[in-house]
Amino acid sequence: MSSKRSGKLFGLLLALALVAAACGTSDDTTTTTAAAAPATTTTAAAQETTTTAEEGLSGSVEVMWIRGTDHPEGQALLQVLAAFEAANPGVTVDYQGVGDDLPTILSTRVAGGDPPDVAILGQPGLLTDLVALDALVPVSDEVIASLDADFAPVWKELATRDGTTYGVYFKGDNKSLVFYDVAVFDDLGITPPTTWDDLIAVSQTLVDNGLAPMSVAGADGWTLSDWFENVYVRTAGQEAYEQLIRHEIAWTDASVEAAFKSMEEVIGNEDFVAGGLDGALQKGFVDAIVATFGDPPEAVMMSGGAVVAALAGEEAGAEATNVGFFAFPSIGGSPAAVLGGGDVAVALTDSANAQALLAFLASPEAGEVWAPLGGFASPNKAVDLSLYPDELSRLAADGLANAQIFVFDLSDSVPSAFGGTTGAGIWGGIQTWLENPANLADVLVQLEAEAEAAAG
Amino acid sequence: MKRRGWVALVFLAPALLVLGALVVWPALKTGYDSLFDRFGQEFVGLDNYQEMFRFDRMRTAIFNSFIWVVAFPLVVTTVGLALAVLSDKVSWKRAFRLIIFIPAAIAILSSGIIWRVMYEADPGRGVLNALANIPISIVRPAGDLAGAGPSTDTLVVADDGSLAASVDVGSDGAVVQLGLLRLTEAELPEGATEAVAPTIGGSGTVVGVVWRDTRPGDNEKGVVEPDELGVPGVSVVLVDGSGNQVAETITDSDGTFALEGIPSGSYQAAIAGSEFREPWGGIIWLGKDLITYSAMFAGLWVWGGFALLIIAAGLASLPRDTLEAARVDGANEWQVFRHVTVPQLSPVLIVVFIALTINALKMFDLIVGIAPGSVQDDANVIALEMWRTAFTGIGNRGLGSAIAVFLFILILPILLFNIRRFTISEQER
Repeated sequence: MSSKRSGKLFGLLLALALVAAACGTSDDTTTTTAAAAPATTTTAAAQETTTTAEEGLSGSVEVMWIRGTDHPEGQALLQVLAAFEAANPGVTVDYQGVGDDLPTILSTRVAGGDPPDVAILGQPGLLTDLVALDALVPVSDEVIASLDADFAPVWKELATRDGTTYGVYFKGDNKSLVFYDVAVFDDLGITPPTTWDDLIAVSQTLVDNGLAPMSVAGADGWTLSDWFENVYVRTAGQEAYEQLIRHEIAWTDASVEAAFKSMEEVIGNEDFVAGGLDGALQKGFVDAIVATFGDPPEAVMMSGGAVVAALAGEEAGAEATNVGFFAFPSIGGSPAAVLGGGDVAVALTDSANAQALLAFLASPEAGEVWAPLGGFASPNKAVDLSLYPDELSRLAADGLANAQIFVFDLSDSVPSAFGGTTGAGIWGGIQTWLENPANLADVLVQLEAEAEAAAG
Repeated sequence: MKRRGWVALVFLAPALLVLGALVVWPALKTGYDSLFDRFGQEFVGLDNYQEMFRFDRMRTAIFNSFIWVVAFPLVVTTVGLALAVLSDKVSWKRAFRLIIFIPAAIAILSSGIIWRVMYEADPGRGVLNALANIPISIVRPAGDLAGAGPSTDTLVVADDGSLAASVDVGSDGAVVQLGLLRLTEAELPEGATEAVAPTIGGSGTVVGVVWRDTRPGDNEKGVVEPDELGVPGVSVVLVDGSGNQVAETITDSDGTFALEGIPSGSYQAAIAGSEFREPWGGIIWLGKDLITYSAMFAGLWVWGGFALLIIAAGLASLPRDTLEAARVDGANEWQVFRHVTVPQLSPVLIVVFIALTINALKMFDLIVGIAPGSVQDDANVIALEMWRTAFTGIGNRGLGSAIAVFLFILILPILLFNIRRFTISEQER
């Protein structure tokens, strides 16, 4: 019967089509060679034979990071890698942007015996884990010389375990910033506050005028932990902060309680937070930015890293001139402090190409390729500040490289089971506190218990 | 016989290989991994099974999973049954069933995200709260001065939300100033002009002003200053010591008002609480109290169609004569439903019920999609806890594997029941 035959033919064709679709390579360019990126490298990087260009280097080097090539940061990194290729003509860079699951993907490849040559990590806790697994190769002496010469000591220490240095911090993020709506401040004749008490007074003025002062992204625990860290380093000092990271101070300590109490004066105040505390807990990071800079505006200020300014333009459509910023205010006369994050490049294979790439990333040339592209701050003191495209990047980079007091993001520094998990550890604990700030004592006990569990 | 057995084995071999590699081996390896530490290097025996219960998270997860297993299949099956039976009689039943089934075609994670948007607390954004706000905004509408508050202590907020200041009317009359804060200029009633400080009016008069007591730059509270706007159209009442209303007036465009013929004495000048009533904030569907039930409703939306379709198919295959016989015997529709339809449908209902129970225990993507980060702890179920422990920041493979084994043990009774039923129905054939 012809209908039976055509039916069978159709079924066969359908099966073949499905198989072909499944086997076809996806168009998603998560893997690409760096040379494919538009080569707008500065001539300095291309022509200058830096100490990183060795004769006779050849082969490939595989680099893994979270940002895909469709992401502005991924594209910027590709340009840095292209500059490396230009300085080392025999080497090709194979870049993999794998997304937020990088810790899982990386540990799977390490366990499978096929790690990438170089990985870029956002959390020092992950570096610690990889060192424990014997997965990292220490950096070469050449890299250490660069680190000693051009970086503040803290950046080398962050990548050092038991006296051996494993990585290069070539990208940093200054998170001690508060962004605000310039038009509102101007209308009300408000000047940006420099002290905590000023901030409270400014917030009260905004409330009196019918506005909600602060946008808090409570749904994303890490923004709350950034608030806590900024307050803690100012109320308890740098020494105590670092002791808290190492868990030499308990979370039930009086200094932690005092920091939470200070924090309560601003973000624990129902009137000062847009949407109230309940509303804040339902707001994600991007939602909070849109609440401040979008239309209609719900709030006037928001604290965060330089990425807030970038997203204010992209997601909320704010004019760059309307996005003002000031440094996180000092509390009780505390000296200027910068809370930062950063990305560290580490080598997982014992190859000359990997070490050469690390040396390049430690040099100012790498920073100078990325600086003009924006959304970047280098902790390298030798990077020329005039290359940054705007005041915000300059302020951020200056803080990272030259700050009197610099501390690294606490939630990134402790084991990620405690500091980096949605709904648990620090993130979940501060969210619970925000639900009801009066419950502080219980929250601290829970935090201490989880910190102990993660350390053990 | 032997040769046929070999041929069968050859044809089954690829499937057995795939099953072995993708189902059997990972299951065994997970059980093995659960006896090791977070990186799979150190043997810890049954420690992980103890560690699991150390924090409240797992207890919340078990409790929530229990609620899901008990409530979800029951609710969805019941709704599916009700819809199937009720829609059986109408001519548009095919269209109706199709519409109910459409959500089943959407990926569950997408459904979670769709519902997260629908459940937004702000009535201006969330669909459910917007609908609920329609009657609420008619019954208890927001006041013109929503959210405003007093600018000085002389104004007192009463329990009913009204704002009042004491007025002592003497031989020269009295002046009363009602300063308000927490209003933006845009929120003022239309036609507001610069506020004017009232001057005393003489015997028997009470003059006053209601104004927005703030301005850019220097601002002294309680004093009417240039650049400060009056609040027009506000109803001010004068109440005497025993609570009787003596006079009432409405403020002018510059916020001033005047009352005549007031005898000397102590009064309260008040603005009614309804003026300050804030717009309804919305039910927080995705807050810690309601999240599991909100997620369950979203699950009903996804799986209700599936239950409806299978039960409807079962319904269609019921012998009509039993139903007719019952009706002829004088049973009403409800009795027919309860005593004839449902018992005959029970095999179908059990199939649906078991499928939904297994889904309830596996529930994961819906909760990840629907719960904001701040309530993931409260919405936690065992499958979610397993994923969080093994794959996200916690990264503890041993503990995650132990939770997976625990989940398997919980599903085991249902699995065995299902297999037993299948075997029995095979034997009956």
